[in-house]
Parts: sequence; C-alpha cells; structure tokens
Amino acid sequence: MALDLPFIDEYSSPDMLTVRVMRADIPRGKIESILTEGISRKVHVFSARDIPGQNQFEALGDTMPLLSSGTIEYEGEPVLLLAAHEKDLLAKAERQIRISYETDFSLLAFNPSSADQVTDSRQLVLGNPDKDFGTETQTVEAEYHTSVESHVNRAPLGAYTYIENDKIIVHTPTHWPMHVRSVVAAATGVEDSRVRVIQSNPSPAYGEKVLFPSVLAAMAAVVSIITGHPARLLLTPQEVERYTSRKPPVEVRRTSVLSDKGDILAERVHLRFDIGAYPFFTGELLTRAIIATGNFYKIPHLSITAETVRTSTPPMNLYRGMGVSQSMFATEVHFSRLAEFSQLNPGDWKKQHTSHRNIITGAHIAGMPLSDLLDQVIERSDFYRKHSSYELIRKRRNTGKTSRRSFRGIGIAAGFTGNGFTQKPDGRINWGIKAVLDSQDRLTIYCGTMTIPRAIQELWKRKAGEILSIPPESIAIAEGDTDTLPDSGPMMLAMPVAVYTSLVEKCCSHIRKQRFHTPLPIEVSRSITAPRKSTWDSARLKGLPFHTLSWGAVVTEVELDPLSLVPEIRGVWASFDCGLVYDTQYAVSIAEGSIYEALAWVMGENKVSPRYNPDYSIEERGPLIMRLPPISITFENTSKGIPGGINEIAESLVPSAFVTALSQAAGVYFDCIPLTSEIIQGYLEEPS
Amino acid sequence: MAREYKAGDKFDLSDIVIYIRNIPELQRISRTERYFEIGAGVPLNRILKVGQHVLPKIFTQSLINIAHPAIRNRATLGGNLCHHPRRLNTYGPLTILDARVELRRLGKSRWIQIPRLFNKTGESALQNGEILSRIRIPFVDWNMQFFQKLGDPFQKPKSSLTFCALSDIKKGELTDFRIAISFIGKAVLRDRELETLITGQKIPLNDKSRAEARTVFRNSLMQLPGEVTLFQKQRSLRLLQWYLSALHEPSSELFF
Amino acid sequence: MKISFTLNGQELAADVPASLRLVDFLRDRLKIHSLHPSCYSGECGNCAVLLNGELAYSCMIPVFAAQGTSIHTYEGIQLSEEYEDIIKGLRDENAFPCSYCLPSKIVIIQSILKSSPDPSTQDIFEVFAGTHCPCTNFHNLARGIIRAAFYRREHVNG
Repeated sequence: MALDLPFIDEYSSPDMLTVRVMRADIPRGKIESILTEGISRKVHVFSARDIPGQNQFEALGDTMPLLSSGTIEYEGEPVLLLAAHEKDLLAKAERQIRISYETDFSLLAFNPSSADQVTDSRQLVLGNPDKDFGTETQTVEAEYHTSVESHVNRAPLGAYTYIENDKIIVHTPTHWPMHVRSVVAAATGVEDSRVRVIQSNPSPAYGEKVLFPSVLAAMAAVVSIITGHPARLLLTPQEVERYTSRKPPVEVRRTSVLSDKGDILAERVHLRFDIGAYPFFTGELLTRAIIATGNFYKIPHLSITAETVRTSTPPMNLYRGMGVSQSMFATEVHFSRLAEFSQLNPGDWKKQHTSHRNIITGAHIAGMPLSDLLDQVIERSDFYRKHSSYELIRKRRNTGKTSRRSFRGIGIAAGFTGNGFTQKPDGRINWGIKAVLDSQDRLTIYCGTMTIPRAIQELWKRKAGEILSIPPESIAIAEGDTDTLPDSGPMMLAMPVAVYTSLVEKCCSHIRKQRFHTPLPIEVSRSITAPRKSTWDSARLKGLPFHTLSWGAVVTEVELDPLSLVPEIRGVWASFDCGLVYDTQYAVSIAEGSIYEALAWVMGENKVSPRYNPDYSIEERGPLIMRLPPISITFENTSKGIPGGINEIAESLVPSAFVTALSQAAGVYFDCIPLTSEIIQGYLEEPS
Repeated sequence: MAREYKAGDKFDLSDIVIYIRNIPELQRISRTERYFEIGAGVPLNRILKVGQHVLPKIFTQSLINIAHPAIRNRATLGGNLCHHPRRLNTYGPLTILDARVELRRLGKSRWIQIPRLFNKTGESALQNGEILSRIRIPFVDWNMQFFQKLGDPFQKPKSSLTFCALSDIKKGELTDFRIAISFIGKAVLRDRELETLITGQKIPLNDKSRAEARTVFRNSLMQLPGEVTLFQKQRSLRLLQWYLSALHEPSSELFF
Repeated sequence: MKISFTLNGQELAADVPASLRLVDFLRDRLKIHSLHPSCYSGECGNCAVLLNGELAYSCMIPVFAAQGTSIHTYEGIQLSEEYEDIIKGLRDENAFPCSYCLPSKIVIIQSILKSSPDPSTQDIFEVFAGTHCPCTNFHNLARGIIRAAFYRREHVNG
C-alpha cells in the first residue's frame, strides 16, 4: 500500500555515496573555470562532461541541461555533483571548490521584458474586439499581478540509486515513474529496459514530484553508474522551496468597453507569465490560462492573448492548477469591479453576465448550472444583505479618523477548472492503464503509479465492482514498478480522479462484454486518446478542452482591523459541482485544505493554522480564543457523472473572492496577490 | 547570553557543556505578599499553570502569545529575556511592571531592572561568570492592562511588534500610565515623556490631550533606529491612538 | 559526551557530540524514521516527541538535553493500547492525515489526550497552532480527536 512506502530519506546502505548539488551563484553568465585542488580525495566531483549519456532533461519536448555545460541561466542552476561516503566532507569540499564566472549583467527580467524573451503565446479571439463602439461607452483599464508562490513542502525530495544485476535501480518519490526511467536511461546512456524505477512515498506533493524526481534520479544514477556505488541525493527544504515547482508570477492587463448601462461590449486581455529560465509545459499553461480568463462570461467581442516570458530565475510552472488560479483571480476581481458600473452587486452581475452552462470555448456543462451554485452561496452567506450594508458603511466611512471599528467586506467568485490535459501530448506517448480479470473473478488494475490516493482507489474499486458485479474486496490496485506497470502519464491535473477513472470504466466495460465468451484471464488496456477536432479544436480553442470540468461558486467575508491592517476571514461559503462524489466528507476535507492553502497564498503567509486574532478588548474577561476561518462547503450533483478534481477549483476561486471582499472592507481596489498588511498599508496610503 | 541558531544550523558547542536546566534554584517559583519570583529555568507553560490567576495579566498574555505549547514546554523565561539581541515578548511587560532580575555569580548576586539588562548599544549587563537566576515581578494593582502582539517576530520581523500598556484610573483621573512597545530585537520604546504627559489627565482624554500625545509619541518613534520600519511605526502610532481613545472609567470589577 | 535516557520504555546509552540535535540523533543513529525533520525551527511539528510525558519538538532540543529523560515517539505509542483509540477516532471522522504527517499527529494527539481527557476544540487548536500541514482539515481533525478522547474515556472507565 502506498501509505506504507518508505520515504526517500529512509533509504541508505553502508557503501552509499551521499550526493550534493553544487549550484551557480550568479544569475546569468558563463563558467570560466572550475578549480578543485585541495579537496579531499574522498570526494568525487562530476561535471557535465562526466555524464555518460545525454546531459539533458526532457519532458514532452521541453528540455534543460542536468548540469550546466558552461552557460548559467539562473542563480542556483546545477553546475557540479559532489559525492562522498562521509557526508560531512561535502560541505567542506563545496567551500573549497572555486568556480569562476564571466557574469552577464543583462539579466532577463519580467518587468520590463523584451519581445525576444517570449517563448510561447496563444490567443483567443471572438468577434471584433477592436471595433469602434461609438462614444456612448466607458472604457475600464486595470492591471493585476500575482507574485511567485513556493510551496512550503516538508516531505523529502530526492533519489536513491544503485546497480543490481546490470540494472540501474531507482527509488524516488515520483508521480511519473516512466518519465524517471526515460530520463535516467538517457543520462546514463543505457536502454530504458535497463532502468527500474520503484516509487518511494511521495506524499504530500504540489507538483514538484512530477518532473523533479526525474532530474534528481538522473543525477544520482550518473554517480552510481560511474562509481559503482549506491548514491542518494536529497534536496534540502530550502532547495525544494527555491528550485523546484513554484506558481509563476503573472501580470494581466485588461481593457473593458462597457455600454452606458454597464454591459460588456468588448474585452481585451493580455496575460504574461514569468516562466523562469527553462520553459516547460507552456502550451498547456497558456491554454488553461486563456480558458480560465474567459471563464463562463458572455462577451460578444473578446481577445485574450497569453504569453510566457523567459527570465533569469529558476524554472517555474508545474504548480497545481497551471496558471488557472492566477488567471481566474484577475477575471473575477475585474468583473466584480465592473459590477459597480451597472449599479449591481457582484453576485447579480455575475448571474446576468455568465452563461450558466457554457464556458468560453463553447463547451456545455451538464451538471448543476452555475447560476444555481451562485444562488446557493449567496443564500448561505446572506450575501445580498451583507454586501449592501458593507457598501453603505464603505461610502459613509470617514477615512481620516482612526477608530477601532473594523471594516468588513464580502466578495463572490464563480468559475471552473479542467480535469486532464487540454492537449494529448506528443503522439509517441501512450498513456493508459490496464485491467486483468482472472479465473477467480478477481480484478487487478494496473496504473503507472502506486501512489494513487486511497479515496480514488476506493472509487475505482466501486466503479469496477458495479460494472463487473464483483465485490470491491475482489479488486486490487497492482503494486509494482516500471518493470510491471504501464505508463499512465504524470499524476497531475486531476488525472487519476477524472481521466483514469474513465479508463477504468472503459477497461471494465470491455471485459464485461468479453467475459462470458472469452477464456479467462482477460486483459484489457485503454489509453488516453486525443479528442476529435469536432470535440476540441486546440488551435482555435473551441469545444470541450478537458476530460471533465469541475465548477463552483465561493463567497468570502473579510474583516479588516484598521489598527493592525490584518485581514481576518469571517467565513468562506462554497458550492461545487465536481461530478460524482462517493465520500462527501473526504471531499469536503480536501476542499477545506485547498481553501486554507489559497488563503495562505493570498495573505502572503506560509500557512493558515489556528491562531489568536488581534484582540483589543480593554474590558476582556475571557481567555484568548484560537480561531480558524469557518468554512462551509457543499457538493452538488454528487450521484452522477464522472468524478472531477476538487483541489484546484477550491483554490482557484477563493483568492478573488477574498480580494474583492477586502477591497470593499478597505474602500480601495486591490489588484495583487499577496496582500500582506504592509501592502494593504501602501494601498491605503496612511499618513505617518 | 543566548545565541540564536537558524533553521538547520549545527549547534556550535564543544563537547564539554554545563547544562543548567535542572539546577533546583533555577526551577523554583515562589511568592510573597509583595512579589512573585520565578527561576530563570522554569518552562513557560509551568509558569502559566502555577501563576496564571495571580500574575499580572499583561505578563501572562505575553507568555500565552509565545509560539505554541510544544515550545512553551521547553522555553524558559530566562531564555526569553536573554535572547540577545532581540527583545522578545516578555521584555516589554516586565519593563513596565518594574520587574527585576537577579544576576548571580559565585559568592555574589545583584538585582537590576529589566531595562538595564542591555545597554543602549545592545551589550548585555551580564558579566563574566554571571547567570540570570531569578526574575521578580511585583504585585501591583492596575485596573487596566493591555497586551497585543502583532505578527510573528521571526517570520515577519519587519512588521511585527508587541504593544503593552498599564493604566490606573481612579475617580476619573489617570493616576498612572505606562507604555512599552517592542520591535522585536531592534528596539524597545518606553516613552517616559508621553507617560508624564498623560499621567494626571482626566479620563476620557480630550482631543487636545490626545493630539499632544500623538505628537510626542511620533517624535519618539522617529528617533528609533533605522531598522524599525515605517510600517511598524505607523502600526504602533495607531495602536496608541486607539488605546488613548479607549481609556475610560473602569467598572467596579477588575479588568484585564 | 555520554548520555543515557529511556526511549519507548527501553534504556539507552550513547556517546554523542554536543552539537547534535535530538531529532538527528534519533533519526540518523537510532533509525526512528517516524520523525521527519524539515523546518528545524519548531514550526512544523513533524519531529514531535513526548519528553517526560510532555510534547516537545526534537529539532529544537540538543541531544544532551535527553540525559535522564523518558522519550516516547510514534513507534512507542503505536505499540500501546491507547493507539487504537486515536486511530479509531480519526477514522470515524475521516480525519486521517497523510502518511508523512501521521506519526507526528499521533504523538501530538497523544499529548493532548494525556493532558486533557476531554479536550475542547480550543485545546486542540492551541496545540495544532504549532504545526504546519497544508493538507490537514483542522476542523475534521479536532472532531477526530474529540472522538478519540471519547473512546479513551470509555476504555478507562470500562
């Protein structure tokens, strides 16, 4: 069981070499020389030249070097591998090694940046957004920013490798074992079949376990194959935070043309993502960002352009959601602001201006209409009453007077996220799963990662059991490794819960058809197939881009303490339609965790844990109270359809609801994330 | 003095260590009619357990706001005071409570007030061979005590602070008033000019008094070292303004 | 320097350098793999142990401070009868943490139940304010712990 898998830092052996990455300490330039004189002979040093195979890490067509072969593109880029049996020697060796650089001071910045830094772009155009709409219109321009987010993940990240029976054995906490295999094979110059990848415990993970284990495994494997010794490479928590997956910063510029009644006539949006020194999965990121930007809104003339910009910073992306939460933040905050022009509250404005069942690409959602979800959260949170009374207070407030009275606001957001990739990756890749029914009517499901969450395993067993009329106890999820399991692709973007569940159903349906006229065992494999162009035209961004959608509405109420400028969450109300949900309590638990993470991101904090709020009672009689933001979540339409991801929809909607609530509370338009107390102060421009 | 290690640092210790934690005298808590005495090695949670209902609220609140129970089970009051160069939670409250500390060496001991634990340049008063052994907190009735900590001093040193104030109001007059703001390692501001200005005033304070207080306090803030950020100064000014506005004749019960 | 202490009921003696943190000694030398030191600053709680029955974060304790103490880790609690109460309570409320956090959570929960046989949500929140677990639903966890306390009381009262 995945729960019992050891963590990567538990692997060791007496003759093991500890490996450490020595990194560049300039942001851009060239290596002039590397001097290793004087270091202990017990320390092995490896550079790019020592890599027996390819000095390259490749993922779906995007590449970066494993070790710098001379050029430095970001501070922290790996330059050397140091390995020794005694790990205390490594720090000393690192201090003794002299790397001299020719620094290139023309750094690639995000703001400003030049046109040649753009690595990829996508565009969606509907109607004619550049049309002249006449003089009886209003134009609203705004800019939104989100800054980089690192996850503060505590689980170890690394790899342990050794040679056994002419095979390279790799242990690593990966969510894509087959990819580890191919990268290790390429780096060591051996065939894929000579590499065996066994997963170690990857939990918890935020995207860094998709690609980075492959990098680390390749590095450790190079050391093993050259020295003949087992090798273990573990990143420090600081390295994980700085150099692995992070949410890329975005800058969004929007221009809205409104009629005199406040209806949107046209919208032009330009998104720019800072993708770091080496771009990965930019096509997916940009497509998702554009779709999230359009959201459900009915805009007759629309242009959305999205670009990735290369900068002299560690590679980013591959954070959960891939651009959706940043894009949706800008959209939902912007449209809440536009509601004022129509003299409507944002809840009603969104209900009027969204298509309740169609997203911007024209895809139709079959579950609960968005307007119903909006109505639910509006009612549960008492949104109308609170919004109008907070508006009244905001307009009447004398901002020159400092008083203890807190200011309150309430915000609303609605939208969707997509489950699965928008584009089937390169045709050479065949991601899928396999199911085998044996002669004892026992079913085994083979999926390329052993670390499927328990709740999803239960879901598959239940689905398979229903189709084949066998009890869940007769169904097993195969344990194994790359020698025995198929390539199911990376475990991200809700693939296991949405895409793989469908594949399980397809396998079982096919087995059911064959069951009584084909001898057992019956083995069926099903792969992810690219949708037909009539279903999804990825060039024109038309149709259903994802395997399934999850959508919802969120209201957040905030109180701003005028003395400390610390925002406190008075409540979060959410209603989601994520398709089939068997275990509502578990689903609520997942959603709550994501909401807390989203709140931590938007407030610029590492975490949201129980804490004492500022308490100004001079007449306090009771003890201080530990508080946690109260959250109310419902899942709708849970008995039908295909299950969808929960994490991303929860964390995509909360930030914008929070920011619009805080804007109302403070009487200022906030347009960035994070919003720390100092940043709030800056917006309010309090006199000193 | 205590030395601060960052996350992941190895403890820089020789293999000969004098571990004083279990010395009985440093673990003692005692009280008389006039004061409460706490050994420097008493864990914070034990102080709270024993003294929560008798110690000044401003002090117990400063303890409750330190980290969380797992830390408070090990952290000591002596450690909190000796965390050079920072002035952590208890420093401000103990300063305005007129608490004293005993510095003891072989054959000798001396008592000093908390503000003298560090001089203006941040050097500690501990001489060679001395340890901080006891902390003495006098029992005094204050009918208004206020402590507020904002932010995490280690995660957000540029914005966090503690604000503590003691007020004694009798028959509509502010008979005593003390205030201390700690900017966690950079400075502790105890504004005696402000205290003198406000003491003796009628409560509630009128606009003129509050405006004067604001001016005096702002001037004091401006003289703080550069490491104290503008945001911290603005925060403390707002807190002060609020506190002065909130002062009123207490009811017959004792408040926190 | 030589130290001796009790670990999960067993007496131990060791020769250790003074510069070592307790967590590194327990994990690297004694292979107590339930401890996952990561923040090394007393924030995350993944190195939680019971030291003389009280909750302590072993990353913040020098190894020599273990001299003469009694330390319990997850491995020890797992073997006790009390463990089942905790597991049952968490399971009832679907409050199982991930495998990374589970050992430290169990230690923390054990410390809560030892000091408060009938803990309130406030008591629980106060202790868990000193943890960092992005995937934890604190409300669920609190309900699970209250449940566990109920089972513990049932056991004790027969």
